[in-house]
This record gives sequence, C-alpha cells and structure tokens, in this order.
Amino acid sequence: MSSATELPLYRSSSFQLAILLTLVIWGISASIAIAVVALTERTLLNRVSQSIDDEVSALIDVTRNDDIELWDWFDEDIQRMLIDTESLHALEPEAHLTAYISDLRDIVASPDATASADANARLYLLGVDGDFEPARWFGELYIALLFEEVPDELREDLSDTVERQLRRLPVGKRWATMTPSARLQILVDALLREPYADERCVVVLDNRTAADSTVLLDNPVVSRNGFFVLELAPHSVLEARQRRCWVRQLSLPDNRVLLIGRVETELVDAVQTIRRWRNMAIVVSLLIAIALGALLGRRIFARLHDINALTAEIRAGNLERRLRVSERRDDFDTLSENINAMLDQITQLMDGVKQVSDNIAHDLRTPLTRLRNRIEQLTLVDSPRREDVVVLAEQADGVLATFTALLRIAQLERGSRRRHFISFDMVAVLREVVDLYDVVFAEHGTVLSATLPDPFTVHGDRDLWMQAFTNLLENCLKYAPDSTAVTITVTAIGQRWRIDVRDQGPGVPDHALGQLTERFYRVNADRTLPGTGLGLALVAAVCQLHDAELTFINDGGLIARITIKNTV
Amino acid sequence: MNILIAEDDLEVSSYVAKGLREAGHSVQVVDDGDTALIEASHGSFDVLVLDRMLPGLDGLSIVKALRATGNTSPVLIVSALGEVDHRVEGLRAGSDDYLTKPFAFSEVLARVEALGRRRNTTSDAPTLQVADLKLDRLARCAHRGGLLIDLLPREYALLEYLMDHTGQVVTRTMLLEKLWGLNFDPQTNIVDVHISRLRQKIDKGYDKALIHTVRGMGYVIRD
Repeated sequence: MSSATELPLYRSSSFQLAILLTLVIWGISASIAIAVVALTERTLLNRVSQSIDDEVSALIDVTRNDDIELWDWFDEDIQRMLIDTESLHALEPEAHLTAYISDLRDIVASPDATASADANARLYLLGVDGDFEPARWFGELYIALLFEEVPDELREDLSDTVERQLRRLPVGKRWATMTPSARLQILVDALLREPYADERCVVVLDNRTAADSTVLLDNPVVSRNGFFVLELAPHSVLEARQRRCWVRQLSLPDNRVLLIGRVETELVDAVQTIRRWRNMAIVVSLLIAIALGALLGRRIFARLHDINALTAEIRAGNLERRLRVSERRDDFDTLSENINAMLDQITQLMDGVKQVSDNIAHDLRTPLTRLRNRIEQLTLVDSPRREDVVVLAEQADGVLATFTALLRIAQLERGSRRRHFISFDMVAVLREVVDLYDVVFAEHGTVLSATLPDPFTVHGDRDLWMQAFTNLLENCLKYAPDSTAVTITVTAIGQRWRIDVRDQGPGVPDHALGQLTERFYRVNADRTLPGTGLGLALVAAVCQLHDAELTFINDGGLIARITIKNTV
Repeated sequence: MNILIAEDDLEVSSYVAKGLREAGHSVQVVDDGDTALIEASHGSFDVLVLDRMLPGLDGLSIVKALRATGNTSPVLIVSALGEVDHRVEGLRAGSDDYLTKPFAFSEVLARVEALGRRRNTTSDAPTLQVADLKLDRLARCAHRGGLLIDLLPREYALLEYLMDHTGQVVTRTMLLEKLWGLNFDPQTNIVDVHISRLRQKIDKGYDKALIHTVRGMGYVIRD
C-alpha cells in the first residue's frame, strides 16, 4: 500500500501549496513594487515635462510678442547696474564689435571644430553673415555675450558701451527690431540666469551646427513622455562640463531647432534610483517568497508526514500510538485530536467487541451447552415429560434475551439512534415507570415513591429512558429485596438534573462500584440470581447516548445517580 | 378465519400454519413476495402474516402496494429486525401489527386473532359487557352486578383493553407493547402483578371469575 514516503514530491499537496504561496506572495509584492514605482516615476516625469512645456510655450509666446518689456527679463543686478552707470564714458561700439567679429572669425578658422562651430553660431546670431546692422544687433549682442564670451580686454569697454547704448535706446524699440532667434537667445540667457539654471538645458541648433556637431548628440534616444536624451559636449555654448540632458525638441520657423529641457539632475536620478530599488525589491521579494513558501510548505509537509506515518503505523496494528498535539491549537492539532479521539473510540469499540465475544463465549456458551445437554438427555427418553420441555423453552428464551440485550447495547453504542431523538417530558416518563412498578414493589412489601419536580424537557429517546429506569427498578427488586422503601428523587443542579434511584439494600462492595456497568459483570454473590448481567450495561449505554452521567454510590443502600443536561 | 402466510423459511411457515390450522383457521402459505401480493390482492383473507424479508417483493412493499389499491386487510409483519425504528417503519408502511422473531406461536395466534376480530367489530362502542361486568367508556367506570368498581386509571385501561378483546387471548407482550408502550421485555412479571391487582377488584368475592389465565399464552376475559 502507498504511504507518505512513496509519494512523488510534485503530487504532495503541501509542495503544491508552497509553490502556490511563493508565486502569490511574489506576485503581490512585485506588483506592488512595480505599481508604486511606475506611479512615482510617472508623477515625476509628468511634473518635469509639464514645467518644460510651460517654459516652451512661454518662450514661444514671448518671442512672438513685439511689445514685451525686455527690461523684465533682466535680473536685478543688471537692472541696477544699468541705472547706476551715469558716468559711463563714450565708447566706440563699432570698433569693439569689429574686433570681436574678427576674433570670432579667427576661431571659426581654427582647427578646433567645436570652438569653430561655437564661434560660427555666434557670428550667425550677430547677423554678421547676413544683414549686418549694428543698430539692430546691439541689444542682441549685449544679451547674448554678456560677460561671457567676450574676450576679457573687450569686456569692460563693451559693457560700458552697451550700458550707454541701452540707456540711449528705448528697450521696447530694440526688442521690436530683433530677429526671433535673437529674441530667443536673449530669453535663453535670461533663463540660464535664473535660479536653478544649472538644471536647465537650452540649446538652439541649426542644421549646420547640428551637422558640425557643435552640440554632440550622443546616441539620442527618444525616451518616454516625448523626451530626447542627449549628451551635451563639455565646451558647448553655455556650459563647460559635459551634461546629460532630457530635452524637448521644438522646430523653429527659420528651420532651426530649439532643444530645451532639464539636465539629468537628482530628480531624474531619483527615477533611476527608484527603478533600481524596484528591481531589487522584485528580486528580494522573490527570495522572501521562496523562503516563506518553503517554510510553510515544509511545516505542512512535516505535519502531514507525521500524521501519515503514524496512521500507517497504527494501521499496521500498533493501536496504542497517538498523534502529537502541539500547543498551537491549529487545524492540524484539531485534526490530530479528532484522529486520536477516533482511535480512542475504535480501540474502545474493539475492546468492546473483544469483550463481548469473550463474554458471549462465556455467558452464552454455558447456557447453550446446558440446553444442548438437556436436549440430549431428552432424546434418550421415549416420551419426554412436558415440564422438561418447558424448561428447555425457558432456557432458550433466556439465551435469546441475553442476545437481544447485547445487540441493543451494541446499537446504542453506535450512536445511530440519535437521529430519532425527540423532546419529551422526563418527569412524565418517571411517573409512568413509577406507576407501572409501584404495585410490583408493593408485592415485595416495598414502597416505591418518587419526589418529582415540575416537568422538564429532555432531548432524547423516550423508549430508551423507559427501559433504563425499568432496569434500575428491576435491579432494586432483584438485589435489594428487603428494602422497605425505594425512592426516586429528582433535583435540579444548575443547568442539570440529578435523578437518584435509591434502595435500602446491602449496596455493593466499593471495588465493584466502577464495574457495575460492564457487560455480564455480576457481583460474585449474585451469580446465582437470574438475569442477563446486561441490565446496567444497557443503562450505561443509554446514558452515554444522551451525554448523561451514570454513577453508583453506596449510602445506606445503593444509589444509582443519573445526571442529565436540561435541554429545552 | 382465512389467513395468508408469506414466509420463505419453510420450517417457520409450516410450524405457524400447523398451529393456526389446529386453532381452527384456514391457512394458505406462499414463499415469495410476488406470489404473496397476487394472492393477497385476489383472495379474500381475514389476516395476512407477512415476513418482512421475502424473496421478490419484501413485506413492507407488499403492504404499501395493498394499501395503495385500497385493500385494508389486516397485516401482521413478522421480522428479525426488531428495533423500535424497524417497528415504526413497519407500522408507517401500513401494517397493523409488528412481531419480532423469534416468537412463540401463542404470540402469533393471539395477534392474528386480535387482528381478525378487530376487522369484524367496531371497538368504539360506548359500553362493553362481559357477563355482569359492564364498562362505561364515556364515564370511564366499571360496574359488576350493578356495583361500582373503584378502578385506578391504569387498572381501567387494562380492563378496557381486555374487554375490547373479549374472548381472545391477550399475551403479556401485547399488553406491554400496546397498553404501556414498553417495547422490551422486563425481567419481572409486572403484567401478572397488574392482572392480579385487577382480579382483586373484578373477580374477588364473585362466584364466577371472568379473567382467566391461559397457560403459556396470556390472559383472556370471557363469560
């Protein structure tokens, strides 16, 4: 036969459970991690892209608006400086500009491609390669080159000149005369001067500069939310170090391209970090899930294995073994308890069957043998006497009565009669029994009396209780014939009723009290009295069937005490 | 009376049939359920004695079939299944009495005769009379020779049962079962004690005893 050890692992339900648990735990935790990260990332990126989009649209608006007050775009330092430079001396801007332009042209011609492209862009921005009008580009020049790209020796003079010119020219007018690209450059610079400018990335590309790799597009990747990821060369126009940027691409009307976005700052790093954590969480949760699943599965497997091993052992015949019940009181403990209780009952029943068969062998074989012997004797007589035959019939009846009683007790112990339980008045049953038997006791000179309370209801089998009380009373008749009184007393003890049947007989030896309800048990002296030896066994079986308690007490006679729960 | 016995144990059936014939009844014996149903439906029997477990249709099915077709012949079920549940089952199926194997022949005879007679007489007459003993069911009292007999309720019930079966033997088991609802055999002779109490009141002091003991069977009240 199969046993736990021969079961392949994959068929073991605890193993399947462990796998299932692992998957469930992992699935849940990984989903949570993925969802949280995706949500955070989305929120972050949305916020970034929203602010960039706002900037882009603001830029576009501003560049298209001729009436913008350029003054507003200058930061406070510049504004203050512009106001305080009354004593600025006259400057020859054209001279400086010519020198600056030639300077830029030198750089264009230089072998350094990046610097060349950079200078080229400057020239283009200044409009040198197109319509060269100093009056027009003056403001652009100032803004675009402010303090940065101009050679040091030029800067002071240029600055002074610019200041003077600015003071002379109305700002609005200058803005109105600028090209859109110049306006854009001004705005770009203004943006770069704002706080957090380090996070910004603003680049204007034309096809040429793009082709010249002025701005190094290092594997531009279209990221989510419509961002390009690009690497800006370290010595790009406005920045000295290489930066990784997330930018939006915006096509300008003059075929140029504005890239505007954010340097991959801590904010973006945060997304990466979160993603790393997420991946780690998925891996770790898998490990935890496996560990938990294995632990649980192992525990269940171990308990089941214990139960299987032990039941196999018990089945092999070792009926005394019992399952371990732990302190935890979990469902396995309940199972173990139930199995143990079942085993107790089986053992008890087996003992019972064994005892019954022993007793049958003993108590039925004797009368049957006697009967057989008598019949044999009668076969030797030609015409048997009628009285002899009557004795035979009586003996056969005795054997049959014993047999019937045994079967009935066995049936009671199976408990199947509980199905037929009804609610009835126990007091009425007692009254009826007393009513039937008082005349019988009177014949023996005994007074049978009963102290009965108000009716109380018992859920059970009325016929069986009739028989139980009848048996108790008949025992009084049989074993306490000299009693002057037999009394039945019913008292309420809390939620229970105590029914005492008390005689005034000799009682039984104390050592026999516990054995009275055993089948075929007869106190030695009583062996000679007629009877099946099953009367009290049947009373006990009836009590057990009804969860009632049966005890015997020696107290100036014998008290048979039945304690039964009062059910409504 | 005309009696049908359906019993597959030939020893039992011949033993019962022989006894019933000796008691003056006409008996037909069949040994399987199907034949029993056919015979019972066609013949006119005063009492049917059916074994519960028969080859073919079982006893309970036969009773149900008969009752379904309006046949009200009294039925005595005889069975080795003797627990109260089985008994209740048998009576619910429509049988009139239930006797557990093993049984004494006297028990069968008494019950068969009780069943046969019940069919022919209406037993709800307001008064019953045996010789000069009168029982008034409405007043629940008895007179003998015009004198009121003081009876306890239990004694009245016993007398009523006996008089309801006047001239018929009533066995101890019948009294226990039908009068007192005891479906088991008490070891003491409580029936005898109760009868003797009743006799004290009914027969003592009168020339003619009405309650008679039938040896090995039970009691009968008759003139």
